[in-house]
Amino acid sequence: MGLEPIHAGEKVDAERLTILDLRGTYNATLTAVTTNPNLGADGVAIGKWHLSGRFCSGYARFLFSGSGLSAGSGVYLIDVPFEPDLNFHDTSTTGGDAEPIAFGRIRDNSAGANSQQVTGQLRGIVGQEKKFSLVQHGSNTTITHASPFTWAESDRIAMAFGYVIHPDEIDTILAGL
Amino acid sequence: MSHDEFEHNELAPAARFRRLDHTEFYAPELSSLDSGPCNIGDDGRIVGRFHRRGHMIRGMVVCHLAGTGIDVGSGRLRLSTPIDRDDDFVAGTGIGGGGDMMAFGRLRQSSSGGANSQMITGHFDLLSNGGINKFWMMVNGTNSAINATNPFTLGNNTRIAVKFWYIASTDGLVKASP
Repeated sequence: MGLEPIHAGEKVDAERLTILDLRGTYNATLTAVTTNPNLGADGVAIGKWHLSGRFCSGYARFLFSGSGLSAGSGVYLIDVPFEPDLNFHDTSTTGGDAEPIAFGRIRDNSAGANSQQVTGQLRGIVGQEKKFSLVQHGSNTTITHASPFTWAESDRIAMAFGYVIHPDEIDTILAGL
Repeated sequence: MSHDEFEHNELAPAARFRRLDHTEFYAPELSSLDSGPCNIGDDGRIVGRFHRRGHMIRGMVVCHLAGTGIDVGSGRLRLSTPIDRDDDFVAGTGIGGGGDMMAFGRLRQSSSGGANSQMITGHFDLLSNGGINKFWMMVNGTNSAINATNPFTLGNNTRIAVKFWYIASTDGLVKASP
């Protein structure tokens, strides 16, 4: 259904107005293509979103900390709260080949010279529809468990994203109001 | 899940709909953590604009240091936002970097061929540092904040240009437009 235009004189359900300014949290996850990282016993994963009709803005941030921490293996992926409209957004697994839907920063806590701004782009492949990878500054490489540094204690990722959600997601969200 | 939800059959005042799509200018302040408000110079310019979509604030600041009297104090530099943030939703941080990234932009060095010009990110400061409506900026390739001498000595014709986005608090919205 998505959100059809509101017409003059139309009686509009409250949900259609509420969805123009709606926010919440979500279970943001950091995964990797081969083996998922473990953020550690004191690790942090926080996801938040705001919805303005079909435009979703939000934040996702992660901290590696504590026992059990491991960097995993492969390209790092972060998920968004609602399925993107992949007819609207470019997607690619090649760094810098699609429009960025996220901007942010990675922090190497032990070597600040490796800390840098990154962009996020949607993967657009089966099984990774809600995930974006991170592209490095000054490079065409995506962030992995070992690039641009090996993830370790107190390293962080902080991203802000903005994208258009799939129209079918609106019905699911409205049903939950 | 959210605040200010519309209710069935509610007779909502026009102001609630206006708040769903509203643009405005504001007067940002550049301040330093240790010295307070900065002097951007007698030819300096600082302009802020923002759009409101309910609680979502998206805006931009351009700050140009110019002329005589430039003084950016000591400690990390901060720019102010037009409306207080919802500190339950958008986390602030000190130099440790544990908060949300809410601004992205560019720092321009007008001397030295711009060798130190770079992209920067912005993060709300701690509440104890007035961070309810102030964000500081991170230098690329470091874990440090922009200040009077980092990544270069800020002076005549230095420019900061950023876009920001965050969730405002309901109290902040009411304070801004009662």
